[in-house]
Amino acid sequence: MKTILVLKLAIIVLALGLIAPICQGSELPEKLPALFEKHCLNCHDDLETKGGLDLQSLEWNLDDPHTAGIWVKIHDRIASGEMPPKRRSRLGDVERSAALNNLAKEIAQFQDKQHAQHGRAVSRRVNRFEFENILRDLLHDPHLKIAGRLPLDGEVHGFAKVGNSLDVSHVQVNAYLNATEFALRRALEFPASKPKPTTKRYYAREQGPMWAGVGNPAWARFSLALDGLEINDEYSFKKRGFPSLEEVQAVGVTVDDTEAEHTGPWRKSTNRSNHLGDHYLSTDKDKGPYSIKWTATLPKPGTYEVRVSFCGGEGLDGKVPYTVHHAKGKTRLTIDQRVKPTIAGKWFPIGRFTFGSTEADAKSKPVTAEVSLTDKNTQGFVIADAVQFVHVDELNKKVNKSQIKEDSSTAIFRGAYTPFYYGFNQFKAPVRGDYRIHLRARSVLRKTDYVDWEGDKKPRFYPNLVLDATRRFPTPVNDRILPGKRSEPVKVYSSTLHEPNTQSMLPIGIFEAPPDAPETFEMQAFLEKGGMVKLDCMRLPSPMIPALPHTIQKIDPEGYPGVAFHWLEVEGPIINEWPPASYRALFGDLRFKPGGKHVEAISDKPLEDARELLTRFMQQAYRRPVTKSEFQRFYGYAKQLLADGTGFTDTMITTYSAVLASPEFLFHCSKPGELDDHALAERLAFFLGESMPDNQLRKLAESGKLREPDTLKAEVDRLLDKPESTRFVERFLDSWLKLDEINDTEPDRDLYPEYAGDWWLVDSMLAESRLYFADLIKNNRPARNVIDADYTFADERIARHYGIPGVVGPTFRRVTLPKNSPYGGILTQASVLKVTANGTVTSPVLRGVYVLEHLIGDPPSPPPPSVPAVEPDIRGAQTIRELLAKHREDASCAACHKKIDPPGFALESFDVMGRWRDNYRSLADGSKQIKGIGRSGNEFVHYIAKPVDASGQMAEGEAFKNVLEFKKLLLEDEDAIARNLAEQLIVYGTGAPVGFADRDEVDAILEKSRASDFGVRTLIHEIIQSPLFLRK
Amino acid sequence: MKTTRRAFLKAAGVSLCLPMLESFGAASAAPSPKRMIAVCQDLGFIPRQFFPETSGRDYELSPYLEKIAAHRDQFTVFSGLSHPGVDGGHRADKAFLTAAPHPGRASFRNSLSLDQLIANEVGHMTRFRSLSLSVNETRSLSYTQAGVEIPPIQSATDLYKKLFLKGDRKAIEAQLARLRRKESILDVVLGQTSELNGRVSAGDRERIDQFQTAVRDLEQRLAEQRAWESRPKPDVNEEMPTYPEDKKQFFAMTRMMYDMSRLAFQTDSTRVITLFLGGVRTPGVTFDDGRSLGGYHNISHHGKDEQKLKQLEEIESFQMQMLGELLADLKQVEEADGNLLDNTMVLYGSHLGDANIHNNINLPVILAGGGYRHGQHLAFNQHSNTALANVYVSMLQQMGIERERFASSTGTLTGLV
Repeated sequence: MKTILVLKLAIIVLALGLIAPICQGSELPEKLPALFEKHCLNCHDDLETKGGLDLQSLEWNLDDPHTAGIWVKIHDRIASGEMPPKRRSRLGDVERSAALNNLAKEIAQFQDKQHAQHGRAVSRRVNRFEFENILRDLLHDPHLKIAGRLPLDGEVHGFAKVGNSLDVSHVQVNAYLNATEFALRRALEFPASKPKPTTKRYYAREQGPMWAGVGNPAWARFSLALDGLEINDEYSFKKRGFPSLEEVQAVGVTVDDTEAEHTGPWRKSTNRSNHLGDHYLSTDKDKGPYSIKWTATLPKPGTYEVRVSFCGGEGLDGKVPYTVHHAKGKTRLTIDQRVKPTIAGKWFPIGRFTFGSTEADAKSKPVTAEVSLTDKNTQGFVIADAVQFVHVDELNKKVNKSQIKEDSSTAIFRGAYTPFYYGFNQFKAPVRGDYRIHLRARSVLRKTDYVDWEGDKKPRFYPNLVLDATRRFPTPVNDRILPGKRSEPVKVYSSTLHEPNTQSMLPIGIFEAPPDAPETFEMQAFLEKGGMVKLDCMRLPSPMIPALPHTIQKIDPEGYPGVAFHWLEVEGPIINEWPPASYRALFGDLRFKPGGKHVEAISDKPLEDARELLTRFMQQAYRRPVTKSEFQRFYGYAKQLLADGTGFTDTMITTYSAVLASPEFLFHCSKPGELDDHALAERLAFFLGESMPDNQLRKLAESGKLREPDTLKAEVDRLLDKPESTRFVERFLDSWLKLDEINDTEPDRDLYPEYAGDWWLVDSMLAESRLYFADLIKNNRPARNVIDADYTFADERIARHYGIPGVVGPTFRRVTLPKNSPYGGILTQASVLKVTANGTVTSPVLRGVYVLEHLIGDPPSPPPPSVPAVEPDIRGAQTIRELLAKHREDASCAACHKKIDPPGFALESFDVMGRWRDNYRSLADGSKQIKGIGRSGNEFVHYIAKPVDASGQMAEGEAFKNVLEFKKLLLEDEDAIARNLAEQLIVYGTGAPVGFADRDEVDAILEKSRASDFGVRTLIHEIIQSPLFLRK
Repeated sequence: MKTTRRAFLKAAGVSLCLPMLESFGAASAAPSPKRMIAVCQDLGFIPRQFFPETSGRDYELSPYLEKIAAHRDQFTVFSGLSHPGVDGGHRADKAFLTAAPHPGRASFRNSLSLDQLIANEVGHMTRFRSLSLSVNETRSLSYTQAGVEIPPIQSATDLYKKLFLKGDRKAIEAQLARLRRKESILDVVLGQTSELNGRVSAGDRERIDQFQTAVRDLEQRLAEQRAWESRPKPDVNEEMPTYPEDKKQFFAMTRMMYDMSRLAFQTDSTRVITLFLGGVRTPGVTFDDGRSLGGYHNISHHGKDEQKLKQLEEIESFQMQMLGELLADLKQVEEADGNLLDNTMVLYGSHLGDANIHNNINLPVILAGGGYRHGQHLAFNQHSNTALANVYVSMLQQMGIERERFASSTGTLTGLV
C-alpha cells in the first residue's frame, strides 16, 4: 500500500514538473498510509479534494502550525467517527484506534519535544492595550489613552496575546517612543500652583449649542429655550440669543383673536409680523360690518391695565372704537391704530379698569372681563389681534432675575449626538482632574405646532401640521409644553471636542429626569483639560443630516417627549493630592517650577536624585528585580545626558523613555520549564488585570510563596475581585466574541429605521455582555450559561429590545427572563447577534461559523475557493435559507454546512441588531408595505417579507423547531461548551494556542471543575493551577 | 573612550546617501525618476459595470471605464486576477499589496507590501521613503517585512504640512534635537542584549532578533530624516488644503489626497505612495452638487435591490471620475522626458471582487501610466485566476528593481509590456 501511495505522489511530481515538498509516505506515522489508501483517498485525493482536503499533497510537517492543525483535525474527525462517512466506508474499531494511536503519539511527541525545548508559549512583547495599562498604572494616570497611537497587534484566534503574531518593526519602536514621550510629558502638564476649586453655575439658556445646535441653524430648532414661566412664540423664534430678562417678565392674561367671538368677513393675515399667535384679523374696506369680542377670565378681581395689540402702522384707521366692560359699566374709547405699539413692540395700553367686585370675601374668585371693537365709522383697515389684562400689582414689581434664570430651562427633544451635540459648552475644564457636577432637569412633553422657517422670510405657522416630504425644514414650535408623563433617562459624558467621537468620550453618569418638578443630580466626573459636559437622552430620536427632511418620529401619541435642562453646576477641580500622583510617580518629592506648558522638576543633587528616582522607576517598570548592569546602563545614560548639559527634567524623561522602549520592559521573558515566581506573577497580572503585577503580587513573588496552591488561589480571588478585573472582562470579550467590532456596521435605515442613530442601544448591548460575563465569574455560574440562562442584565433600552416588561430607567439590573424568552445566554445576546450580522442582512453561514468557532470550539474549514459564495438578496423573493439550499446541494459544501447551518438557522429568528423577528424585511417585495418616519427622521419604506424558518437538524440528526430547542440540544454536551470556554481562556491567559499535547491537561482542568458544574470561576482557578499556566 | 554604535555607523559612513539637491527644480540630464502609487478602494466595484465584455486592444469600454475614456491609451484594465489563497472578505485589504494568504484566519501573519519593497530600494533618494495615506480609514495598505502595518497619514492638511510647510530655524532645531534624542535612546535601548538572551530560550531569540532589527531600521530612518531636516523643503504654489472633518466629504477628501500625491511626486518628495480609500467607514457621501447618499458600506450590501444598486453605481462612477482627474493632473505635469504620468505607475483596484458577496476573486484592477504600452483589456481566466502579484513583479521591474518574484507570483504578467 505504502508503495502505491508513493508511486502516486511521484506521478504528481512529474506531472507538475517541479520538485515540491510533498508528503512522503515513508515518513507518515505507521498504519496511516494504509488507512488513507483504503478509506480516505477516494474523496480526499488531488482530484476530489473534498472539504478542501488533499491527503496526497498534505505535508507531514508539524513544524508549520497550519499544517499541524490540519493533521490534528484529521485525527479528530477520524476519532469522532465522523470520518470516514459510514455510508462510504467501513472502518473497523481496531484499525481505527491503531492508526489513530500512532498519529496521536507522533503529534503529541513532537509537540512535547517542542515544549521542552522552547516552552508552550513563545516569549512575547506586550500588546498595545497592555502597554497603555502599564503606563496608566506606572504613571498613576488612569485615563491615559495611548493604545490608539500604537500600530495594531497581530492576533491568533482573535487574541493579541500570542508571541508568534506579536511582531515588531521600526514602526512600532517609533510609536513606542512617541507614545511614551506623550505619556511622560503629560505627567508634567499641570499648573505650577495648586488650582483653587471654584463653584460655578451655567444656565442652559445661555449655552449656544443647547438650542442653536451645530451646523444649519434651521435644524436646531427642535430644541428651544423655554423661559419656564410663559412660552411665547416670538421668543421661540428669535434668531439669536434670548429676550432680555426684563422683557420676559410675567405678564397677565392674554386673549388672542382665535379665542375671540367675531362677526363679519374678517380676513386672517400674517402680513404684519408683530402679531400674537398664528395670525391676526383684518377688515376689508367696504365689506363689513365687523365686530369682535375678547372675553378673559381673570384670576382675581382688581384693577388691571388693559392692553390691545393691533400691530400698528400705515394704512390703518385712526379712530377705531373699542369698548371695555368693567365693574363700573362700560367705557368707549377711540384708538389710533396707526400708532406703533409701545410695549414689547406689540402692546398699546388703553387704560386701567377695575374688574369684578372689590369686596374682601370675593378676593380670590375669578372674574370675567370683556373688550370689544367694531369697524363703525372707520376709514382705513382695522386690525383685531389680541387683548391683555395685567394686574396693577404686577406692573411695577421688580423682576427677580435670578428666579427667572433658576426656573428657566432648555428642552432637548432629541439625541445628543451627531450632528447635534448638546451640552454645556460654556464650561471647559481649566485643568485635568476630578470635578463634582450638579445637573438640574425635568422631563417634558411637547404638543407641537410646526412652522416653515426659511431664510429671512416670516415664519408661517401650521398648527398640527401633518409632516410630509414636501416641507424641507418644518420647525416645531415649543409653545405648548406640558410636564412629562414619565421620567426620561439621561446619559452625561464629557469630551474635549465639540463633536465627540467614541474615542474622546468619557462617561460621567446617568440619571432619570423626573416629570413635574425639576430635580438636581450630583455626579463625580473626571475631566480632561478643556473637557465639556455633554448630554444624551435614551428615548429621544437622533436626526442625522442625510435624512432630510428633518421630521421626527412621534414616540408618544400625546406629544414629543423631551428633557428640559435648567443648569449645570461645576465644583472643582477637587484635588486630593498635590502635586498630582503622576508627577510623584516620576519625580517623587522634588519641588517644581513653571516651565511653559509643563512644570519642571528642581533638583539640587541631580546625580543622587537621578539614581534614586531611576531605581524606583525601573523596579516598577521591570516586572522583576533589576540587575546591576541593567541599572548601570540607564543610569550611565542619565549621567551622560546631565554631563552633556541636558536639564534635569529632560534627562529623566529621556532616560525613562529609554527604559520603556527597552526589550526587558517590552517583552515577557522566561525560560522553558517552570515559570520563575516573577514570570508567574507577570503572567497572572497580565491575564486578570491586563497590566503589570501589583505590589502584593511582587512581594509574594519575591518571597517565593506565590506558587503555593493556596496562596495562588487566594491571589486569583483577590485579582478577580479587584476593579481592574473589568479590564480583563472587556478585553477578553472584545477578543473572544469580537465585540470590538460592534460599531463596524450600522443598521440600514430603510430596513431598520427604528435603530438609526441609537448609540444608547449599542452601548447597552456591550454593557449587558460585560455584566453578564463578570457575573459568571463573580458567582461561579456554570459554563453552560454561555448558551442559555433564565436571567440576564438589562437596562430599559435592552429590556425594550428584548420585550422584557417592567424594566424602567437607565440602571442595569439582573432580570429574570420571561418563560420561553430566547435571550438567556451569550449565544443570543444582542451584542453577539449584531457583530455576526452586517447591518443589512443576517447570514446563517457567518453566524453558524461564529458559533462553531467561538462558542462551541469546533471551527469548520474555510470554504474551498472554487465554490461561489451565496449572494445576499434583499428583494424579498427568496430567503437566505432558500438561497443556501442550492448551495448545499453541492456535495463538497454539504459536509461542512451540515455543521455550520444548524446554529445559523436557529439564529435566523434575530434581526441584524438581535431583536426577535417572525418575518424578514425586504426593500422590494412582501406581503405588506410599511412606511413612516424613522428614528433619525428619515422617511422609509420597506416590506414584511417571508416568514423566518429557524428550524433545522443537527449534524448528528436531531431536529429542532426553533432557537429554544436548538439551545436544549446544544446543552446536551455541556462538556463541549466548558471545554471551549476553558480553551479560549487558556489561549488568552498563557499566550499559546491549545495544542494536541495539551489535551490531557485540559481534560484534567475540566474534571476538576465538573463538581461545580464547570463554574467559570472554578475554571479560571483550575487553569491557573495547571501546568499549562505554571510552565512556560 | 567608549565608542557607541552610532559613532561607528557614522565613521563607517554607512548611513546616508542623499540625492543632489538639484533633483527637484531645474531640469537635469538624468532621466526622471520612476514613481508608483497604489490605490485600494475597499468596497470594490459592481463587476458588470467595471469589467469590459471584450478583451484585447480593441476592447469596448465598460460603463465605469467610460469615465476614464480620455486616458484609454494610458491604462490597462485586467480581469481574472486575484491573490491565490487570499480570502476573508473585508479582511483581505491587509493583503492587497502583500498577497499574504488567508488574512481571515486565526493565525494570519502579514508580509512585506509592494510599496515597502520599492521604498527599501529607492526610498533613501527622497525626503520620505514612502507615504502611506488613507481616507476614512485608520489603517494603511503598507506593511513592513515583519508584517506590521505602517500607520497612515489621514489628513491632506497634515500631509501638506509634512511635505511643504517650512519650520523656522527654531522649529527645525527643535525637530533635529528630537531626532537626535530618539537616536540616543535607541543606542541605550539595545544595550547588552546578551544578558537578555540569557534569560530567554533559544527559540525565543528570534523574537528578540526581530526587535533588534526593528531598532536598527529605525536608527537608519531617523538618521535619514535628520539629514533631510537641514535641507529646505520644496516650494509649491498650491495652498494648504483644508481637509474636511465631516467623514461624508469622502469625495472631497479623496480629491485632496490625489492632489497632494501628485504634488509629492512632482517635487520628488517621495516616489512611493499608497492610498487606502475607506468606504467601509464612510457614513455617507456628499457629491459636488451638495447631494448626499447615506451609508456607503450599507449601499454596497445592495442585496440586488434596484434602488441601492443605482445609488452604488452613482458612487462608483464618481470614484472612477476622480481617478480620471488624477490621471489628467499627472499628465499635465511636464518632465524632462515626457510627463509625470509616463513616469508614474498608478495601480488602482480593490481586494473585493464583489462587495455584495464579499469574495476576493476576479478583482477589479487597473494599471495606468508608468511608461507601459497600455490601451488594452488583459482578460485572464475567471474560474482559475492569475496571480495579481505577477502585475507587481512587472511593476517592480519597471521601477528598475531586479526581482523575479513577489509573494505568490508565478512570473511577470503575460501581455503587459
